[in-house]
Amino acid sequence: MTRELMLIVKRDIKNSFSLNKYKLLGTALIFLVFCFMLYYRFMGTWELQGKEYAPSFADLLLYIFSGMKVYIPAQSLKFEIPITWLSIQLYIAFLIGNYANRDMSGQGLQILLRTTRKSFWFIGKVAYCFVSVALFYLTGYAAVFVYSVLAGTPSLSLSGEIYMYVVGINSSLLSASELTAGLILLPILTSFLLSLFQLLISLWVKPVFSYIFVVAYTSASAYYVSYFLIGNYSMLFRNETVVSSDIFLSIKGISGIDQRIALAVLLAAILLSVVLGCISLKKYDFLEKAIT
Amino acid sequence: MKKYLKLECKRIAHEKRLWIALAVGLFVSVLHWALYVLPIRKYLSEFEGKGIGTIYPHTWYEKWIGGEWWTLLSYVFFIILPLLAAVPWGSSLHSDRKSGYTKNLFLKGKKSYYYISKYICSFLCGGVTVITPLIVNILLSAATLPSLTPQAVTGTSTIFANCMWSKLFYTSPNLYVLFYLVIIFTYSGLFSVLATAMGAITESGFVALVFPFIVNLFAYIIFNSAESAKFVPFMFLTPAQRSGEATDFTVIATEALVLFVITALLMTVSCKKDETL
Repeated sequence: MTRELMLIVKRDIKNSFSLNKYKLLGTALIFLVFCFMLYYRFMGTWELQGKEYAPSFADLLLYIFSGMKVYIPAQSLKFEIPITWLSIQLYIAFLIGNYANRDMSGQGLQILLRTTRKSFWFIGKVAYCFVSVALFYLTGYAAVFVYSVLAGTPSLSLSGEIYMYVVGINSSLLSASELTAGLILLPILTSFLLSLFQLLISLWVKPVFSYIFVVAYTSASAYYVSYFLIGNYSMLFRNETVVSSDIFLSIKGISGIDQRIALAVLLAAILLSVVLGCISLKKYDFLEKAIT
Repeated sequence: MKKYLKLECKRIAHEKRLWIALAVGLFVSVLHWALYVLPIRKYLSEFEGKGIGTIYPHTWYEKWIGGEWWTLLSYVFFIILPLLAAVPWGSSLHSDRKSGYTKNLFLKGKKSYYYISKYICSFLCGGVTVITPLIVNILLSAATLPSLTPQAVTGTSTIFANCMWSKLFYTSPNLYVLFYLVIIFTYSGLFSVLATAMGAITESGFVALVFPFIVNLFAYIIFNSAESAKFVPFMFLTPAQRSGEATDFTVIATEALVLFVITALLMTVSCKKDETL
């Protein structure tokens, strides 16, 4: 039985490499554009002060994963999600796409008919999601690193005060572990959970509608600060330490996201989604789905 | 040709995805009215028996889903616009070719007529799917708030002096909204055709449907980084003019023309390369 599971998982992992290889070129392009974006923003500020500076590897990561400041709805204040954060979430959803739905026919259907447990098929799809998300982030980090090497600043040091002036995060408030969690662990886990949501929904409705759901849910995450909107977990601007340092937000009674709670919620939700997926597949009519 | 058009229209009307896309659009549109427009009605009581004096009531031109830029639902509607437009009929060419439906059709009529009617119907279907929720939102908002001409001094509108068609907005707002609806209709139609044309190239129906959205996303990333938001369809398609003073009709018209040429070329090439029969 374990061998059977391993074979199915191996096939899905292979697929995540082969189906996404060209799309990952798009990932590298997106991250490189982000790097140029920050470089030009820094350059403008620096030129005014008559200094020369190139953002470091850590600066670039912090810029890309900082997300959006807490939005207080007001008629005069345009609601606009930073493209850096938004495109990461939406491009990952594109990578996940309709894989599960497509795999219900053809070769995938043969596996479903021959496997001893339907849940193995679903676990394979979970593996596909995880590897696709991991590949996306690895490609992204690699592109940023290559850029910083070429720019001559591949260091992990942050430019602190000046960084706050340009992007708006006082990085000295955050500890090394908070930064690591906010730049690597939480974004990956959040994207993984979002892709699981997309996968689960696409089992019941057309994949394009599950994609629309991801777009709407991601946008809602930027609009409201809530533990129910998991997109918040991947934004450093929504971190409890960062939010509590803002006097205006403190007066308004808005509190940020505690990274430990976020991590616990993410892990529990991932586990729950996998269990839910396995259970819901028990009564799933794959043959009918394959015909329609 | 007429036969093909009739057949396509009939098929579209029976397409479940058209009704689902319309339902999604209408849900966002009606929810926007219920959450953001309807509550403003209570302020109208301030004007009962007094008329307009030093204060001016909110008008629907600056409160409907396209007239503002600060609510979540307005943002969601305009960001999913390429998806809403493509969903109903965007993958039809892909599925027609895959299922062998075209083989039967080409026995009865010219191949080129099929592609032309596909282009026309896809364009109209995309436009109608997006424009219907907007019109419903306008009707609901107009039934709730007064249709008074917006006043710049109130500072409640997002259209500033240097914005595109600002004079029109503050003199003939109905015409301003109408012109914008025409722009949105055109772009929605073109997004739908773009998805349809992609259906002939790509192996996956999903990629065809999402393609216009991904193109928009890349345009957003690239032009935003170059600080040229006026080139991003998501920015200029909102009647509230998200790109602010940078919105330029020449850019809107040129991009529409480019999209038209690209989609027409893609459809022509697909038609010529189609070796069915």
